[in-house]
Amino acid sequence: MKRTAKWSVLALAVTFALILGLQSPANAQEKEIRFGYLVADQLHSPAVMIMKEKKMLEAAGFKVAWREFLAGSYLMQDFASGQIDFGSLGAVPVLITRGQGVDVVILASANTEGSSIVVKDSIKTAKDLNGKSLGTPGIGSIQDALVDMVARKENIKILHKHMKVSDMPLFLKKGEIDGFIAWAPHPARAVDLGYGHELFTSHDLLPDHQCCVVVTKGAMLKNDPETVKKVMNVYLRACEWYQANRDEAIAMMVQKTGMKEEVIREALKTVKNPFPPYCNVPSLKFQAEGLVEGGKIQKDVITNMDDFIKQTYHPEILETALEKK
Amino acid sequence: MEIGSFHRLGAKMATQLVHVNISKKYSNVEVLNNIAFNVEENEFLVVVGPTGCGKTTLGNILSGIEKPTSGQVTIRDEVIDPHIHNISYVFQEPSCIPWYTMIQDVTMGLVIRGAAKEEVAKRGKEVIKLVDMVGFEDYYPWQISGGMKQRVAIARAYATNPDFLIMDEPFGHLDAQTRYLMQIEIMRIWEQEKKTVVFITNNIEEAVYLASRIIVLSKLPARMKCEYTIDLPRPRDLTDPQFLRTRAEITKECEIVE
Amino acid sequence: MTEKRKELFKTVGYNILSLIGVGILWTLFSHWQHSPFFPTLTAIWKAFVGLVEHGDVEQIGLGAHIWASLVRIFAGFAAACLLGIPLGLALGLKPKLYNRTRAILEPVRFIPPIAWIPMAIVLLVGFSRYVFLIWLGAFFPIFITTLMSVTRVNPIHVNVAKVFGAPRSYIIWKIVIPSVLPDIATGMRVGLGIAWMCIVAAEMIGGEMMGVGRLILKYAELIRMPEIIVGMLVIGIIGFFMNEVFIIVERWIFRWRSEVSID
Repeated sequence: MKRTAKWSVLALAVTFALILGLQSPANAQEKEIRFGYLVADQLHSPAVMIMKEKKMLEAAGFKVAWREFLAGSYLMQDFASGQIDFGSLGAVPVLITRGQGVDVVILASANTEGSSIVVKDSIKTAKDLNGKSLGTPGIGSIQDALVDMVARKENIKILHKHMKVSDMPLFLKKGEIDGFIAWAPHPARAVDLGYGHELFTSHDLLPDHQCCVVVTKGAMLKNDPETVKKVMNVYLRACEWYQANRDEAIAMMVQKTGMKEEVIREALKTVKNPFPPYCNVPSLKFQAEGLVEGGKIQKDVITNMDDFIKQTYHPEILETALEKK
Repeated sequence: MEIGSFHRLGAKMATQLVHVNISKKYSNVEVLNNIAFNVEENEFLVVVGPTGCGKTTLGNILSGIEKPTSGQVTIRDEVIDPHIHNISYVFQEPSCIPWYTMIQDVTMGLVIRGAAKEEVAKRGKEVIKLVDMVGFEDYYPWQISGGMKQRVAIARAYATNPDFLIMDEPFGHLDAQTRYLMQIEIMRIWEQEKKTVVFITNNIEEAVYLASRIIVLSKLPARMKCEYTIDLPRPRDLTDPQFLRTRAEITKECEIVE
Repeated sequence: MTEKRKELFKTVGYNILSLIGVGILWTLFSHWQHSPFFPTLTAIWKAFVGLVEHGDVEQIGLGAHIWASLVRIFAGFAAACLLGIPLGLALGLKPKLYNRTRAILEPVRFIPPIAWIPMAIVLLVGFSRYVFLIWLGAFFPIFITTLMSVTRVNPIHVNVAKVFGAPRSYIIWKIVIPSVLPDIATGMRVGLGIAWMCIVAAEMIGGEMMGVGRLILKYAELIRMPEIIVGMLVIGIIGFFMNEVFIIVERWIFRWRSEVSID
């Protein structure tokens, strides 16, 4: 019995070592990064979509784990627990998370504007929204903040109903919400299906407002700027490619979202993808102020707004990358 | 269904109330083989048999809750039926209904038979006095001992003034001392209110103590082995030499102890 | 002081002591960690007070959230009892029928309520979605316990009634039902607890502004741990009290059951 025990232990140890050995540490050239993005956000972050589809990061020597999230706040949750290295999401969740003390920094912009409020046919003006319910992607989203803005501006009360963006057209059709706000192309899809009409685009609400951004960990920026630079370079190339190859990119979007080309083109009209992809700093500031006012960032967290924005938005890498061109 | 004992009008000969002639088989196992006997009115008939010989099956068939495979049990020439006839059964295991107080338990049969409220209350008190459990009317089963539970079962059996009372090893789960006490008790109760009783046991001493007549069954499949009439005066003395002789004789004759 | 009183004091006393112990450990740990994701007890308390006084970021008070969830839970729980108890009794009395329908019933039992959410969103509307999901959680414990309890009715008690010539209705109403009632009560208590635990999953559907599950999810999006913990504690404490009240009611109704002591 003792002999059998010894041999089985030995066999187990050898097997274990083999398995460990087979997990050879990544090639010094290959570095693993985890990139998070949002569901159906191809129109807001086309460069990210392009990077993913054309495997540009892999070509630059990275091993990439792509993670999809239902909304920005969920991406930030995983970010906070250290499971994401880079992400593409709305600026508002980033600001809120930063306000919670999480070490997230914005590197570049993905797009401005690009959300719309779709409502049922009986609602014609902003005032009609008084007492009505709008679906939003979540309490920590820019879309939710935009609804707050409308309510404040018109001095009315709007009920927020948070839900998955993919559920919004269905809830609208069932009459459980009177309308919803989501990032393109979801509003266009609902309009196309005949569930309602577009009441406002985010351009109507807040022109040039910063929407999606590319983020990373502040620690990574400090300790491993090389990686961040490399990723930014790839991102820039993807942005350039997008500017030059619109139609091909649209074809990609059609394939990824499963929506018709006309719908995608119509939706793209509401989205702006600035190049070079600098963030709209005054817009960030404005949004942060709105968040404090709405109680989503606690008052005592931001002592000086300008400092807060400076700590959050770090365009240095982007500038360096652009200069090289 | 009226409650009342069968009144004999001065007949000299003991009336044969119950006729038994049955066999019972479960699947292919024969349990009771041609068991045939009669029970006279107000006699205390004891059926003795070794453990596992089908005594409980016999009890179930006599009370009508099980049917024999062949033959029948009749009472006053009618096939026995609990819905029609007034039968009571004292089970081997404690059978007090857990959510009934004592008084509710003993009057259960009366309530099922639809007796009037006053009658129920009166008879209930009577039988509780009969089994010497006065003061425990509002107790729940979990609050009383095993011996007391069996007394309640006996009270419940008596409450309906049954024409036929079957007891299946009612003292089997009690400790030896309580058992002796209960044997004395049951004799006292029976003398006070005479009933036709079939008492099943595996204990010969108990049988000789209680019985007017003893029927001995064999091992599985149970057959009638022998029959004895016990003429000893009551209350009987366990140490009486006549008692002991009778007991030894039965033990030997029927080869109960192997 | 009677023995019972002494024991009661000891029980309550030890419980309070252990709560204090947990509180001390928590405080030590949170100060050592010093992270916004492990808030101190004072932060949690402040969040609680804030939620009660000012409500959450949408100005909805804690009480409103609790009430909204309670209504949903009780609706679903009531539906589960209304369907589960009669069905359990019926199939318990007719075991053949149960055995022949097991292929339909049993697999459904293992589908977690969360898995039903997509269907609930599409096929149902509003309040009925919650009732459905909570019903799913509570139904099976109630149904199965009721079913099993019928099989465990003591045949002796049935025989006692049979010997007296009791009709079938007496046996069902006066023997079977009182026998199974304690087990059904236990099943109901377990079902209620599970229903309460389903509320967060149910409120993940979205489309509703109120509810303790919604409250937790709102603050999860804002990554505000103190409020999240308040939400969790509220759920736990309410569930605890519901259970205790249930037990007390059970003990009173079923006074006839013996108290089993282990020492």
